[in-house]
Amino acid sequence: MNVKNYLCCSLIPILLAGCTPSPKVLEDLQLVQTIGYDYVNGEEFEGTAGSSNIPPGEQSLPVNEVFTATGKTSKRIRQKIQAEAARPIVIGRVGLVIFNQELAEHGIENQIDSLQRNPSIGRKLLLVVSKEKAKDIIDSNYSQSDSVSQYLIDVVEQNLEQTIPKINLHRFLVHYYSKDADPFLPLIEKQGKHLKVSGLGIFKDDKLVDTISFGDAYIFKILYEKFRRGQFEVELSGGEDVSLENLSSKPKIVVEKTNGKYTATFKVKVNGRAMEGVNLDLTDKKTIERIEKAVEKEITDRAEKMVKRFQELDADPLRIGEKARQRSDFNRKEWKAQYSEMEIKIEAEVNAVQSGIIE
Amino acid sequence: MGFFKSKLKRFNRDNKQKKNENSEHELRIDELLHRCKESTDFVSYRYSESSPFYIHYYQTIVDINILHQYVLPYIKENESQTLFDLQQAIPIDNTEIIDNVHEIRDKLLTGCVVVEVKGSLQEALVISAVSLEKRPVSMPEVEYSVVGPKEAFVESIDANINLVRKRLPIPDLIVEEVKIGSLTKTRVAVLYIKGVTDKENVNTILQRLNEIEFDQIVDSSFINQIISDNHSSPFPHLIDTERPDRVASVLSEGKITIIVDGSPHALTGPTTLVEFFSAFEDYFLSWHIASIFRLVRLFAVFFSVLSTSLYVAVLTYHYEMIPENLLNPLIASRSGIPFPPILEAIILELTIELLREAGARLPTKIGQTIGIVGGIVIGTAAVQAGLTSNVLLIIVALAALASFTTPVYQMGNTIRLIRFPFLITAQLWGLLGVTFCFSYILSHLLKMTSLGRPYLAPVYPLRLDDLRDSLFRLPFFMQTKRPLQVRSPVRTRFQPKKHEKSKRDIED
Repeated sequence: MNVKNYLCCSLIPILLAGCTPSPKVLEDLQLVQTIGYDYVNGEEFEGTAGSSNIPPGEQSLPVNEVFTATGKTSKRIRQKIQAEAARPIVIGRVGLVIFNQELAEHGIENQIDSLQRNPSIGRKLLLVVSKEKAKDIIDSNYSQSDSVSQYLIDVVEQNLEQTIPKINLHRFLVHYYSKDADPFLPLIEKQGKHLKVSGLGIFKDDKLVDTISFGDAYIFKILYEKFRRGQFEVELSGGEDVSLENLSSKPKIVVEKTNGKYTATFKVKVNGRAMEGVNLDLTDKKTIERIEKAVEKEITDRAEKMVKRFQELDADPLRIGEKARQRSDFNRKEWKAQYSEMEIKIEAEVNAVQSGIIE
Repeated sequence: MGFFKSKLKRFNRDNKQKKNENSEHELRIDELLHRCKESTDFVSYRYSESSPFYIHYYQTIVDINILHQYVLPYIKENESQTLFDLQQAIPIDNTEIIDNVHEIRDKLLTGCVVVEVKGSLQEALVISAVSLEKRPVSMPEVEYSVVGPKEAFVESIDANINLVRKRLPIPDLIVEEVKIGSLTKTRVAVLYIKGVTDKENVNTILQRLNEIEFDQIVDSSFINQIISDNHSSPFPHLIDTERPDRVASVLSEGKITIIVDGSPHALTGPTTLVEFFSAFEDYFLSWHIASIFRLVRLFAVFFSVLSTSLYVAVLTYHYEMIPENLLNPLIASRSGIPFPPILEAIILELTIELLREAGARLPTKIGQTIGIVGGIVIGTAAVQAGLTSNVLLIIVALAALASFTTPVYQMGNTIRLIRFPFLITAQLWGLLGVTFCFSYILSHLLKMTSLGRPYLAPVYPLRLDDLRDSLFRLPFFMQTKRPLQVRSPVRTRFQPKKHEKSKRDIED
């Protein structure tokens, strides 16, 4: 290597020194893990940052730390929060953003915009709508020993696997910016010492227009994506209760257009395992068939009701429009005009493949 | 560097010129003897008043028993007055009548007895009576193996060549000897198997050896450094081994071995980077086990080089990428510590290096105390005093442990060294810096050569055949070819029989 190369090599670090990131040493940062937004008035809103302080020591437990401020923009709120924090506030580890229901009804465009522009925020960020004030949810103690933020994130994350359709910032933005679909978010509420997921909030553009119950959220999930696990309970004609464990389910949407009229059909296949039929003979084929029929009817009825409600609201969280757009003869104007009136059928096919461990 | 080199050359040239002046001037035996007598261990006497023979030797390098049993009695009995008759009478095979004084001098200095007749200034009888002081062949200490042969090279070149030749009893095993070092005149032997080794490689080595101009060659590592392809590289270019079995195996692969007198380590080459991570014991174990262990060792190297720098980079710049469950323990262990991660890491790394250095220099009995002092006192106390985080302590200890898995000691040293540039760049630019440093070292390795052959060989340039015995070791029946790296004229090692699924018992 000649002198020129040596010079070049030593110059690179010197020249690069200008573009280096500034060091942010882990323990000198105030890591915000949850953010909550509450409604104040038409212009301002209240932001809450949930964070935790971890005292030194091997067995130390995190101490909850909550900052709250009011302002017109998220950046302004952050500035106000920074004023009362002992260490620089960073939001690279935010895992959950909570919107108060009232705020969501007024629209969350500002907040979403600031979240999606920030490069230090991951796309796997979870968004939820809360019935209570977001601040109350973040600033309270739960029976779990983890830090509050971690507990909140765990509750929502676990439910996204099991009971409600998967949604995070990335998926929300896909629905939000799509012209043929509308977003939805999980709904949470506090119940004593616990947080619980209590359904789904349906959005029209950036505004919350409706909420559906926890039971309906499960139907929503069956219609929305393929998944495993999860419980479903029906009452048979004889009055017996039976619960069906979902082993696998797969939805398919077919949109047809005849004479300029759109029709949509949900074809749902559910493979399940009949559990907890106390007074039933689950070895009997007829009983199994009865269960299958009952579940099919239950799914169809509830789904139809739910879809009707969506049509009334002119919201499309099940992204039927996205499916329709795949047709070569799709016309968005016609679709928008017809959506709330069109015929949407549900075809459920339930197959009870197992009945658990029996004699 | 260049400046020093030219100076060294000039110095050597001056020396040579002086030597030439000396030889031009006709040296006489009595002058030579006069010069030798300045040293007190030089003995020179007339056997008896009646005898015409004068005997000269250095008593420190001559085997006195040979002199007493086979030389002196015959001088006494011999009535003839000529050297020729004496030579005939003495029952030692290695005798010579030499009339060149320079040759006589060289023989005298390598342990011969010189007998001359007073008056004849031209010639002298030279009788070889070298006293060989050597330690017995012992167990390998640096490259210890649990199974397999337990003999290691010693300091004597003849004993070492003997160890190799015992394992390769073929006339094609060629030994070429050169003397290097203007003061030490060290015997350096180049071993290779004729017909299997590429002649070009042999010539490269011989040429580089002959070009060496240095006053002292004390150990084979001198040769290793002087003839290496790239003097500014921290990586060793030839493998040094103390195992005769490894040398024999490497020779039959078509590589070349250099054995230096006075050094218990032989050098082998041309070599590749992956060869440094293969212990010879790998060949004694079944191929699955050997392959896994090699991969483990390779992983250990990466871990050892990268772990502390990743710790520094992540803790200083990338708080986002710490796994959720690790976050609390990390912050808890870090929050009481007064130093930034880089200082903490450097302090701990240096402590480990100190311990290692102290352990290596101390006698074994005190060396054990070092382990206790280092491991228990410094380690635990530093954490309890809140000077370092216990997470980093674990990482650094593991990294040190991982660096010991490298079978070749020289490579282990290199790995110790290259951790530090990684640490510094990690502090400067985070993960980007680690990547930058890694690319820098990778590009250095890419263009490095060992005796003119690519250093990263089976990986780059990609040679699929050679991969059979590199990162992993496939069974012996698949190792039918010599590595392409050595350019052997005979690539096939043996003709494989059709491989049978199961070994049959003896057939009737």
